[in-house]
Amino acid sequence: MEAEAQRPGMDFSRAVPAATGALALASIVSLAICAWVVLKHKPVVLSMAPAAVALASAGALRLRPAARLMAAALAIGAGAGMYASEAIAMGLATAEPSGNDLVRDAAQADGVPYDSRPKIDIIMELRRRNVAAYPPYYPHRTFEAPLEADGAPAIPVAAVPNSVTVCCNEGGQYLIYRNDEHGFPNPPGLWGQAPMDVALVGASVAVGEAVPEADSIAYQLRQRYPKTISLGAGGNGPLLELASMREYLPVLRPRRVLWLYSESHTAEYLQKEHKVPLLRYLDPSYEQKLLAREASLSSAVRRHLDDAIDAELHPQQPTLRSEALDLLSLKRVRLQVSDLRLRGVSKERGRLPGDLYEQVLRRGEEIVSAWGGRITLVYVPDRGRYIGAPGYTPEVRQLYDENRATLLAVAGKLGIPVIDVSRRFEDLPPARRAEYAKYFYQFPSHFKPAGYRIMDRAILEELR
Amino acid sequence: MGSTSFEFLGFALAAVAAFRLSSSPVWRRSVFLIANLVFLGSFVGGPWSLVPLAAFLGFGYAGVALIRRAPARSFLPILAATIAAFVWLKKYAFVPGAWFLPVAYVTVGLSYILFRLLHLMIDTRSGNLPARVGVVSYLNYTLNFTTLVSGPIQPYQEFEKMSGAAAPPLNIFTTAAAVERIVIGLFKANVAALLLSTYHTRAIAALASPEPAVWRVAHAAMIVVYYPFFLYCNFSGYIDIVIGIGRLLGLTLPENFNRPFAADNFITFWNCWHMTLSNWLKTYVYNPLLMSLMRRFPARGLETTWLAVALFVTFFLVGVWHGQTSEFLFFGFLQGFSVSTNRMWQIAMAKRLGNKRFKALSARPWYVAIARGFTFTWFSFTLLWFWSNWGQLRSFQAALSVGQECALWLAMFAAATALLAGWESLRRRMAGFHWDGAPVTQSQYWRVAQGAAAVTIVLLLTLLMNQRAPEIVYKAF
Repeated sequence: MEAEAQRPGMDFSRAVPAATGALALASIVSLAICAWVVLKHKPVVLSMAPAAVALASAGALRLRPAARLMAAALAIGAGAGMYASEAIAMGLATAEPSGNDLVRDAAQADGVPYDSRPKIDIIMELRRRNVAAYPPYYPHRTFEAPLEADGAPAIPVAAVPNSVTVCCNEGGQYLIYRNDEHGFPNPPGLWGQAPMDVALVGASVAVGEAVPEADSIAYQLRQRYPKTISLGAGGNGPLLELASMREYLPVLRPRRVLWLYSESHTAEYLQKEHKVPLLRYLDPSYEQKLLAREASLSSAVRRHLDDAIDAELHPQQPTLRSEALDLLSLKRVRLQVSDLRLRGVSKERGRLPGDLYEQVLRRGEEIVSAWGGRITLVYVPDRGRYIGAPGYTPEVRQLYDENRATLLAVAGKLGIPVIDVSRRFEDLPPARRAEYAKYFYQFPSHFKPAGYRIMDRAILEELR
Repeated sequence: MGSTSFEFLGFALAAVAAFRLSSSPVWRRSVFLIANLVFLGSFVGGPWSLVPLAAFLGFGYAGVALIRRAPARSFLPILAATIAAFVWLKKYAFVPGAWFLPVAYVTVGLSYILFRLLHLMIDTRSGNLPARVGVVSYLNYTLNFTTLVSGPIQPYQEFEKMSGAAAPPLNIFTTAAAVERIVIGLFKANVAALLLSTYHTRAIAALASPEPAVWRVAHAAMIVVYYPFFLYCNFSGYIDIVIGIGRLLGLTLPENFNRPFAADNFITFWNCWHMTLSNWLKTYVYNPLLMSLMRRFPARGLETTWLAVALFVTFFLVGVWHGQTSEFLFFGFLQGFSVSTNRMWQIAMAKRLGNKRFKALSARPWYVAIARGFTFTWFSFTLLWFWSNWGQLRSFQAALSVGQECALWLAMFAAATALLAGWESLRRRMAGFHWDGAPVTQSQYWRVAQGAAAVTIVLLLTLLMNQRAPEIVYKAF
């Protein structure tokens, strides 16, 4: 190979016009991509990259023939490399095991029969049996397009009352639960028993995703405190949780409020929610009057979920033209470049803003203290904090540790007790790291029944 | 530090830059030693984790010195003790677990260090190593960061000739050739191997799902086909990278691969795959064993038998070296069986047809294509015991009926024969493609375009898409 490298004397002078053409083409194509990106998307710094390539290619046209040939070889190679990367990325995407595969594997490993039916099939089957079945309602998905009720925009925090939610399948079987008379994941009739013993406020973990009902926190708490109610909804962050506290808790007047902090997303969601005008719940005078508008809000939520079902039943298939355009415009490569840029800010996005969180907790305390209730924070760990567990990186661990320290400091300052579940799972030595599979599902990453049991035990011990 | 990572590349380039700062032998040897120790240090978990490896190296050095002083008396005990220490440190399955050290320690590159040590000891004993090996040279040779993790295995005489002050200065052509080699290696190890490994894993998962028989056979075929190519890209990619880095340091590391899938028999295959290991075993196991058998039992009719025995033992050891489990033992058996049977076939055919006619037959394109297809299919079959365990093999078998398995291997053989012949033909055509009388694929423009494409793909895939390449498989051995 070395000897071959020393053979520069080959004459390719006849290739110079082709090289000139290739450089001119590279320049034109790059300019076209730049224009397309700017027109279709926002004109960000990223769209300047093709412009720089266009300029460099045009500049190379003024080089001496030999150098022009070399520049053309570089441009052709780099261009071919980019399109090859696009093709490889497409290939890798299709090769990626789907969530269903991971769930099937998890079920097989745990000896649980695997329900391979898509969620939509189960919903339609239940509907055929006149059951009001819906997919889960995630309030945060309405941030960009709030629902309309009584002619005004709103972000409801509860699902359709008295309906059935077909939630998710993480361990082989779907979590299917009944919503109470106000749309929360509880058995019916609890609302008439106020004051409550315990109210659970939080995201998916407060719902019990995705374990059998008997393993959920609310169910376990009810064994000791029968008047336990959950106001949880998947994807909730602190301001949505504050919304459910402000709008619904005064009716329930619970003695204890267990406010769940999910290590995996609470910090990030807080920052997102803080920008949503309809969630300005830090203002003591603000409320959406969700309980009073329940009838119209329920209809809005029902319409929203029916639209989602309709989209699922009639999905839009990508056309050949759109696929070709994506390939030509290097869609995946561009997305990854933006992602690289975002990766830099994602750490900041995942950092818990101590001051803002303190305001949220303070406001929560004000609400709950109105009837003499008390808040206890529950710190729910993510599997990514444990070395050897899926999703672990030293950076993730560091971020979680920093956020945990912030939370403990804020809670300490406000005198709010914290049940730190992260300490109930240890950092296992390498030989025992496979044990994490006992506690966390492979996909997406919720607790398995064994993980929930540890959390249930921790909460019950601390509440004693 | 992964040997195909950008981190390793950055480290290696920093070492090259420091190494090239001065041509003083002391400077270069010192920089090389520091680089080797820093690289080794990157694997260290705690203060005591390096002690067993350091003791093994110290024992090896003392052993070589003792053999030089009293070769007749000390050689065999020291050789046996070195192998025993290696087996103990590598925690071979047949050694009682209670004998092992209860602490975690570094074993990276231990197998390759053993090959270098045994070579030093045997060559000292036979007088092929005339000069005394100094401590720095010894450490630089055994811990050479370019070859520590997975080889290639270089003879000390070659290493010593090229290291230190003797390293030739770099020029644009040697640098370009070295960079080209590194880029090719990065592409193979970080892109091609990643893709093949992803598809291999996917095919294994797909085989377990309930699907029609045709699809199951197709998934099984993919499982069998992807792995040899993955292993090749993974290992030869790493070798390309370290050979390129070696060139920048003025070290000409031996080649470890020479288009193995073009081999049309199993003996040629092992002459083209992990070549330095095959050569080492040929020099230190096959030749002495064959000589000794022929000397002890000199009857004329037994020559072929001894040849087969020596080949079997040598290639059995090749397999066994890879791992300590019964799967690797069987893998070794299959390698030994294949190579010795292949040799017997060649002898029998030469006897039956005569040397000339057999040679003529072996050169016929259809014979070469079929033999190449068979060699690839058989090697892929033997690799089942390399990457899987008995449990996985049972589920593989359970997923297919006997008829489906037969169909699988027949289809594999037919496809390998046709596709490898097609690939060889395409290669020849590409090499023969000329522009104005000059071979295009050897021009600097073609190679620059090829390199630019490879660099772009590697950068986009590893940096942007956050896809980590699989570890070098041979690192574990």
